[in-house]
Amino acid sequence: MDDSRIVDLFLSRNESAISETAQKYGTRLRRIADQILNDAPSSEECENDTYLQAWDLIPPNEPRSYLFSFLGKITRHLAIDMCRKRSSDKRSALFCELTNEIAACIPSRDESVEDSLEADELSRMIGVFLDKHSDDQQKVFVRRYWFFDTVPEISKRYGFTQSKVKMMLSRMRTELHDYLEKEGYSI
Amino acid sequence: MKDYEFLDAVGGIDNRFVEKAECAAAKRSVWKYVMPVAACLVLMIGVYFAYPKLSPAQAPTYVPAPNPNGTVERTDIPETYPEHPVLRPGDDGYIEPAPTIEPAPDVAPDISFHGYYGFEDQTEIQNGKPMITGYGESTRIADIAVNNGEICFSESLLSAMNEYGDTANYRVLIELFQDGVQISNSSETATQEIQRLIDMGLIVPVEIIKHEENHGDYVTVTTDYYLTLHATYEQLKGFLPSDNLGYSFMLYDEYFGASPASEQVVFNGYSPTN
Repeated sequence: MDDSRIVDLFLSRNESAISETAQKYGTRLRRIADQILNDAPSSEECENDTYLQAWDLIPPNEPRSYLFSFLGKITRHLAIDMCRKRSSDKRSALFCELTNEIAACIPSRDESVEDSLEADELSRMIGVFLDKHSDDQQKVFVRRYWFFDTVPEISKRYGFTQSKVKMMLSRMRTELHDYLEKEGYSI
Repeated sequence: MKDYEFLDAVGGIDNRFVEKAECAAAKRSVWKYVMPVAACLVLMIGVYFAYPKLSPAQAPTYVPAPNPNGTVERTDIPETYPEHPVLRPGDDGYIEPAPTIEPAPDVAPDISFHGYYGFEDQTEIQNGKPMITGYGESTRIADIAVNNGEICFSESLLSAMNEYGDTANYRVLIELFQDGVQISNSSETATQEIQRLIDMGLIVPVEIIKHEENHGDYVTVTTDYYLTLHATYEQLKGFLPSDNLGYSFMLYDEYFGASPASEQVVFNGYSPTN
């Protein structure tokens, strides 16, 4: 079933919307959660919570053309939130690796700065940053920091060598750091 | 914790980035599949062409048995009779005879060599290029003297070399000088020099021409020795003179059809002296 039909089911409050969504996107949503949590039961819990949140959010939202990213954002947010609540020794190795990588992107924090940017503004800036890069670079960055794919997974997906993927990510992290610093970003 | 905030911010990026990353088909490296196939093809083509040369000649599946007198009785009458005594074109194992390369026509006039100065293995240069023996008007310089270690090229020879370059060979007549004085080609010094040139791989026929002069009551016979050089363009340009001899180079016809001398020519750093 296409996304528009599924959204119509949500809008008409038809409960088959959940089953249709699970049938079409269940595996992919569960995978997003599992990349962060590395725990099958927790991932399944995130997936189910995603359907519930989608039920609440559609309407008013009508994500006919971006249903997957809409659901994926919910799953991702739920999984990160669940991970945040865990003790540090229970976090997945991949998630710890990613947070370390991301720390390198962020300019040093200045507590005295009051004009901290909102998360939305930071998202917008990252979007502007990505727009300055090629499609390949955008996809690799998003697969790594949005989908939490491993480097081997990304290299296999796009047919790049692992060293190329690592190099692309490394350069983009450095550039993002410089870009955010130039834009006066601080948290 | 700023890490989480940043992860949240990445999660908030525009949906188009996410859709693009999710929907983009995995890029398949075409070369990954094409290269092995191409390598196999190249290998097969290489084997196809190299095998006949590398493997021993295959025994033909059918060889007509010749009669004791060497003839072969055949039912088919060929249109052309090849050189091969038994096999004919189309038979297995028949190899086309190598085409006969006709030597390039020699533009030199028919010159009768009267003999060689003791070097019977002297031959023409066998590289299929025409031999230049003359060029335009004769420019032979009479009564010049060439210092030791120097070479004087006649203007005709230089002009011919400039025009024909490496596409021709040159029949050159050499006059030898020692301390500015021309020496006899039959002298010991000249003989040694001829041997040196031969050792260098040059072809230096010495023509012996006998002149008979009838005086009525008696006949005098004089013998002249002419040192010639059959050289390629590169051999002429790279000619290494002996330190104790001077050389005057001219085209063969230039000498024997001598006309009044013209100007001197400087070539390759060597200059004739008066």
